Amino acid sequence: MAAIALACIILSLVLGVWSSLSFVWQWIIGPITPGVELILLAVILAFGAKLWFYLRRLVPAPRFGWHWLSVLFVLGSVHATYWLLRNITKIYPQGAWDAWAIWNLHARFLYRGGTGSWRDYLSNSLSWSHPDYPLLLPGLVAGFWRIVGSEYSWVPAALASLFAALSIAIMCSSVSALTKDNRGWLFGLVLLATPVYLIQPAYQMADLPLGVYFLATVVLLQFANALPQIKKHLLILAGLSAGLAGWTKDEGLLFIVVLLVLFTLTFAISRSWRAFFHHTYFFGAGLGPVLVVIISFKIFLVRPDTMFRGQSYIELLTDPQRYAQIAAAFLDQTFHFGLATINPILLVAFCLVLYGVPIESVRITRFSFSLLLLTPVMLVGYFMVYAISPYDLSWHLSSSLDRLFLQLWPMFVFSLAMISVPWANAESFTSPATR
Amino acid sequence: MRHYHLRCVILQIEILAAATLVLPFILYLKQDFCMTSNHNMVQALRSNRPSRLVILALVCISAVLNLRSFQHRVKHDFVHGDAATVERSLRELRRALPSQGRVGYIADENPFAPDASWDAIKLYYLTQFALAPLIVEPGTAPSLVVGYFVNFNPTRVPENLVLIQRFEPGVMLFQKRRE
Repeated sequence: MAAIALACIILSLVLGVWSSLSFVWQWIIGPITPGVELILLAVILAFGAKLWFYLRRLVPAPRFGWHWLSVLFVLGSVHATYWLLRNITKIYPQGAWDAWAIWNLHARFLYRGGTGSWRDYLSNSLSWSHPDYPLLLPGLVAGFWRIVGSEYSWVPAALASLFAALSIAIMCSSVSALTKDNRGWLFGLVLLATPVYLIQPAYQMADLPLGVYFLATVVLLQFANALPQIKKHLLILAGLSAGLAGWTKDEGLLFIVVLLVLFTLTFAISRSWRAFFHHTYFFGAGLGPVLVVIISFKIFLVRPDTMFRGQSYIELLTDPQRYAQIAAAFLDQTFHFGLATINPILLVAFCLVLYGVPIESVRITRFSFSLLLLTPVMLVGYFMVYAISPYDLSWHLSSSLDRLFLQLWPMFVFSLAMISVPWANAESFTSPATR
Repeated sequence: MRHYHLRCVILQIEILAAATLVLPFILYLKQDFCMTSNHNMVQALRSNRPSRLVILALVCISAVLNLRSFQHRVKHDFVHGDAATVERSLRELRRALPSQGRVGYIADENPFAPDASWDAIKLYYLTQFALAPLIVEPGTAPSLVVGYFVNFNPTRVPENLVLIQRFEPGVMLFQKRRE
C-alpha cells in the first residue's frame, strides 16, 4: 500500500512540477509550443516513474487482499463520483464563480496570450481577479489545453476530478500502509462521505489541489518517520510538496511557515539540533526551487498595488467585534461542515472508536505530535487572516470559510487516523532489507 | 420552518452521538488512573465484535445517508450557471476583435458603481472571461467598446460612440467617434 500511496503522491508532484516549469519557460524563454509542453511532461513523468521504481524496492510490499469493505468502497466511490461529475459538470460547465473569475481566467491568459500578452492580466485593471494568486492550477490547465490543441472545458473539470481521486487514493493507501490493515478504506470513506468534497471537482477551484498537497506533505513526513531507509528522499519530496502547496494558493505559504515553526519547536524542545538540521536540510532541498519561483513571481511580475490595499491593520486587530464574529463563523462551520446530513467530523470520531485509541501502547513521537498540531495552528492562522481582512467580513467569511476548512480536511482526517496507529507497529514498518 | 426543525433535530442527534462517543473515553481515562490497563472500555470495545460491527455499520450508513441527501440537493436545489450562455453569446464578437490589447465596456449598469448589482458585476466578469487575453475596461476610454445589454436603451450609449456591428441580442461593438 505504501507503493500505491507513493505512486499517487509522485503523480501529484509530477503535475505540479510540470506546471511550474512550463510557467518558468513561458516567462523566461517565451511562447511554449505543444511539442515542448509534451516533451517536458514526458521527461518529468519518466523521472517520477524512475523515482517510484527506486523507492518501491525499499518499502515493504505486504500481500494486498480485497476486504469486502474495500470492494464496497471502490464500487460506491466510482458510482458516486461518476454521478456527481456528470450532473454537476452539466450544471456548471465552466466551474463556479472563482473558477471563471480567477483560475480558468488566468489559464486563458496563459494559453491564449502565449506571445506575451498573457502578462496583461497582471495589470491593475484586473485587480478583482487577484493577479497575485499563484499559478499552479492555471499553468496545469493551460498546459493540457496546449497538448490537446484546444480550449476544452472538460480539461479543468477532469483535472479537478483527478485531484479528488488522488486525495482519496492517498488517504486510503497511506493509512492502510501505516496501520497494516484495512482501515484506510474507512478513512477514505469519510472523505467520500463529505459532500462538499465531491462538489469541488465541479467547481474547479484550487482548494482541492491545495488539500492534496497538504495531505501529501503530511503523509510523506509521516512515512519519513516510519521508513528510515528512504528518509532523505521522502523529506525532499515533502519539501517539494509543501512548495507546490505555496504555488497553488497563498494559504500554502502559511502552511510552509507553520510547518517550519512546528519543526523548529519540536526539535528545540527535544534539543536534538542535529536531527533538526538533517530534516531542515533535506526538506529545504525540495522546498527551495519552488520557493524561488514563488518569490520571483511575487517580486518581478505582480504589481504591489494588487497585493496590498493600504488597510490599517492596527484598527482591524483592535476591534473585538470582529473576533466574536469570526469565532461564531468558525463554530458554525464546524457544526455544519461539509454540507452533510451527518457531520463528517462525527464519522471520523466513529472510526476512532471503532479502532480505539491505544493510549497505553501509543508512543506518539514529538514529530508526529507536531504534524497533529498542523491543522489547529493553520486554523489559528486563518482566523488571524480574517481578523485583518480588508473586505467586508461577513461576505469574506461566507464566501470562503467552508473552502478553508475543506483544504485542511484530508490532512486532518489523516492526522486523526494516525492517532489510531499503535506506534510499535509503525516503527517496525521497515523494508525486509533493513529489518 | 420545517427546515429549521430538521436542523435542530440533526443537531440534537449530533450532540447525543458526540456525548456517547466521549463517555467511553472519559471512563477509560478515569480507569487508566484507577485500575490496570486491562480493564478499559476502549479495549473492551475493540475486542467486542458485535460493538465493532455496529459502529462499522453506523459509519457506512452515515456515509450513504450523506451521499443520498446530497444527491437529492443536487437534483432539486442546484441552478444552472450562466457562464456557458454568456460565453456562447460573445463567440462571434470575439472573432471580430483584435487578439490583444484593451477594449471598453458599457452595459445596463456600471459594474464598478458602488451600488452595482451582483448580476452587473457577474456579467462584466464573464465578459472578461470570454474575451481574454483582451483586457475589458469598464468605460469608453479605449477606441473599441463592447456593449452588453440585457435591456438595450439607445439613450444610454454615449454620444462619442458609433455602432459598428450587432451580434447576439444585446451584444454590440462600438467605435469611438474621431474628434
